[in-house]
Amino acid sequence: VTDRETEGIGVRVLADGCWGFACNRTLTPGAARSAAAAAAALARAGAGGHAGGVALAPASAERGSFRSVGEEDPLAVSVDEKLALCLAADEAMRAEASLVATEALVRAQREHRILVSSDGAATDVQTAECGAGISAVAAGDSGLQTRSYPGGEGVSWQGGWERIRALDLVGEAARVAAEAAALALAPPCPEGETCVVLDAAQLAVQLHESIGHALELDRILGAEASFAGTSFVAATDAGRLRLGSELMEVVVDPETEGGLATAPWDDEGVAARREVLVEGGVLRGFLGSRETAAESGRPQMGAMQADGWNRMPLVRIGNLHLSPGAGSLEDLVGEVDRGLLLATNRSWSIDDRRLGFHFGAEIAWELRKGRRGRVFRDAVYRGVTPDFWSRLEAVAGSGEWRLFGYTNCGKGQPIQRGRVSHGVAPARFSGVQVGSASR
Amino acid sequence: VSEALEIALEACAGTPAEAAQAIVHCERYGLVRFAESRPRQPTLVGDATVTLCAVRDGRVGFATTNRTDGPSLRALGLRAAEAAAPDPGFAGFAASEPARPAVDAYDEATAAVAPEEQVELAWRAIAGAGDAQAAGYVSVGVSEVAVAASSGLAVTERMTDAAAVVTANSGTGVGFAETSSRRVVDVDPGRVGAVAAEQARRGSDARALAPGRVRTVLGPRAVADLLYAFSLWALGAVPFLDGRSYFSGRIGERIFASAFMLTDDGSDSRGFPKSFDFEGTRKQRTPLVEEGVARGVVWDRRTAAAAGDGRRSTGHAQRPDLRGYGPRPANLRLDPGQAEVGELVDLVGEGLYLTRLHYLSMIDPAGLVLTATSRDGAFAIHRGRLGRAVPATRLRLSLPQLFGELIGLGSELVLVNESDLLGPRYPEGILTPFVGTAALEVAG
Repeated sequence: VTDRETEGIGVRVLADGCWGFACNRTLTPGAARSAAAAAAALARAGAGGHAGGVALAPASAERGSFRSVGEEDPLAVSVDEKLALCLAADEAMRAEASLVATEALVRAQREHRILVSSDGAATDVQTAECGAGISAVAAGDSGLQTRSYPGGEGVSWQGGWERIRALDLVGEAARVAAEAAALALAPPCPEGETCVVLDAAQLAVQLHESIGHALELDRILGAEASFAGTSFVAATDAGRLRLGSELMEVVVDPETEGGLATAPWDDEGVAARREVLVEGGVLRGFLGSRETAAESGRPQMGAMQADGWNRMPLVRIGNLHLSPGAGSLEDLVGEVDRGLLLATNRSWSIDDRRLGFHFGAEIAWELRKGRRGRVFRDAVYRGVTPDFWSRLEAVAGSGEWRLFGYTNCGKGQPIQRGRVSHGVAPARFSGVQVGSASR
Repeated sequence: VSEALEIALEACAGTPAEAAQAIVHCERYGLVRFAESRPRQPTLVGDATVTLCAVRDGRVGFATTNRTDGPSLRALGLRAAEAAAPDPGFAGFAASEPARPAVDAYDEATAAVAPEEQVELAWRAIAGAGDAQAAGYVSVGVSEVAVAASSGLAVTERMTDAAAVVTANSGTGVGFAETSSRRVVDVDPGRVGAVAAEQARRGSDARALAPGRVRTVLGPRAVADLLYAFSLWALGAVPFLDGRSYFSGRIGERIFASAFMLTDDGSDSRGFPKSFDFEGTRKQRTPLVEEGVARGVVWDRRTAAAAGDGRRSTGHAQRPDLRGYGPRPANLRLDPGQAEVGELVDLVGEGLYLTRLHYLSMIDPAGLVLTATSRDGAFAIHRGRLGRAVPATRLRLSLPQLFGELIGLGSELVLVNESDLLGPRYPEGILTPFVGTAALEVAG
């Protein structure tokens, strides 16, 4: 059990066309002035005696306050109750004899951030969020296999503890344990090109890595060239670059209920707004800031986030969703003559332009004549972003749409954790290259 | 007594618990990011966090704050006690130890570098790249860790570190270079920029590589990132005890080539040395692989007690926020060989030269198989000479194969910065030579 708190003030200054940032953990007027002076000195040094080149698109002076919506304050739930939930889920998984390790976690966080700017913004945002997850590791002749729920190292939402109750960790534990045990005895995923259905948990990561990061304008314009990388997308591609099939619609939505990035304003005081970024498979918009808006001519849309008081805000993916189609997961599966259903991300890797990717799933089911068959372990698939999304042939409907919030999206130096949420329904892709990680 | 240690002692004294341990982690650093050959995000960071572990009625709880005034520290004690939960694996706190020889972790001149001087270092890196467009960062920092406990333990250590990283784009190619040291005087940003630009000017070849095994020279960054992943998945006691580590059941077995010697050594002043871990336990030099044979993993107090064989901590407890992952090496050293880099390229003959890997991801923990793509600084080797850059290529990296089929090891030991730059500043690095291997696989 860990209980953490942190507080402080960060000051970002634009002077002589260059940014400077400094912070102070002491919340006093003197400390704030000290941080501002240090940031200004740093900015002027950065400009190096000539104009640094940063310009900002004009922004309206946003003012107001926001509190996240939730029924049960996750911080008011006792440590004992949280422990009891974890232990009960753990015990339910441990009923499966072949498991060698189990894990259950819950988390809760409250954050209060106040932003004021010399351009007149004054916003006050208070949010609560919580998350949870369970995982089971089973041993077999082929080594160890992990199965988790609702995905990876847990999934989080903005809102109340009712989100965690609705997960029913204890109720799902036996299934998770049984699937881990089945994986430990399963054959490796066969190699080849086949039809693939991705469940929502897998598709959330696919959307994040191959589309979300590719549409960040700071990457596109070169600001992240040394570390995170750039993008295969150009700022001039809107309206003409096809990113996927006509079924592909991607939206960024700061009003999503439960989204970790849900707030009326971003961390530079810009009004955040819903935008369609991909429509009918064609690129329509980007994720950006006031600076990228000025540099690219693209409209600003409020995508800046700072991972706390001691980090500069960066362009982040936020709440980015794939719009639902029609039908259910079983409808998608039912139309497959031969293929695979891949569920829950296990590994991810993509090149520095967000083109060539290689993802692994925790579990694969063989699909034959519309029905699930054998389980395969160590399933991986690979592709090239626009080609892969062009193979999108069906997206399940809103009844299957699920929101996955992650708190570990790394970007920037010093590295920052972005809070992102992705709403997706399962989808089917044709002609995907699959194989086994353990071949 | 340092201020950090005073805070740790005060935090311990202010709790109603039966026993307590406080870890104070202070950081002060600048990090100047640049892109398109101009500083873009110059940042100054300063913080101090206190983590208190309180034991009461057999229950153990942790709480952390960055407020270090007296009332806040007393409130921290109450929070830690309130967070206490049953913890049958708790192994107590380290006891006070006799004075020990200090390691050379701190450099006054590095600690004295002013923020504006860091910006100047960034400008030197940019200038070093010449006509090539430069992106990267320069960072200089000071950190201090103090650990005090009701057992009488009271230790503190200050550390410095400096780094320069440059990606240079010449328009016809992209190059990468970096350097790190605990002493800023060893870091020459202009030289780093120049090396990156020199790589960038080699030009590129649009031809994709054919899938299959390729003889390869791995640069220090590529090797260090592989060793870092190796340490996460295999070299800590938690996966070892769970049976998830590649070392589980393999201690004493040959796993790599006989030239492969891997040690964790906190006293090696060529890296980022440290005297003790985050439990205050003195760091032990720990052989991990000797002549290709798996020798052991690293331990903290909890895992050593869990082993149940009288084992003691090797001094590898992690930062409090990472303690759930168990102990991990923080000062890896892969022993060098005899070859100059040019000789390794010659020995490879036909193949690849990889400066760094992008998005390294473990895909088969049981077999220690990873995937990544090549990035800037990837060149063809033809007839024993370095050629033009190759396009980004998907790679399959089996560590038993890569390190089992060595062509040679470089004679120069290079410090590669592996500090995570995410949590509080804590300099970590891996000392490694260039590595020649016969078993890298291009996945296509």
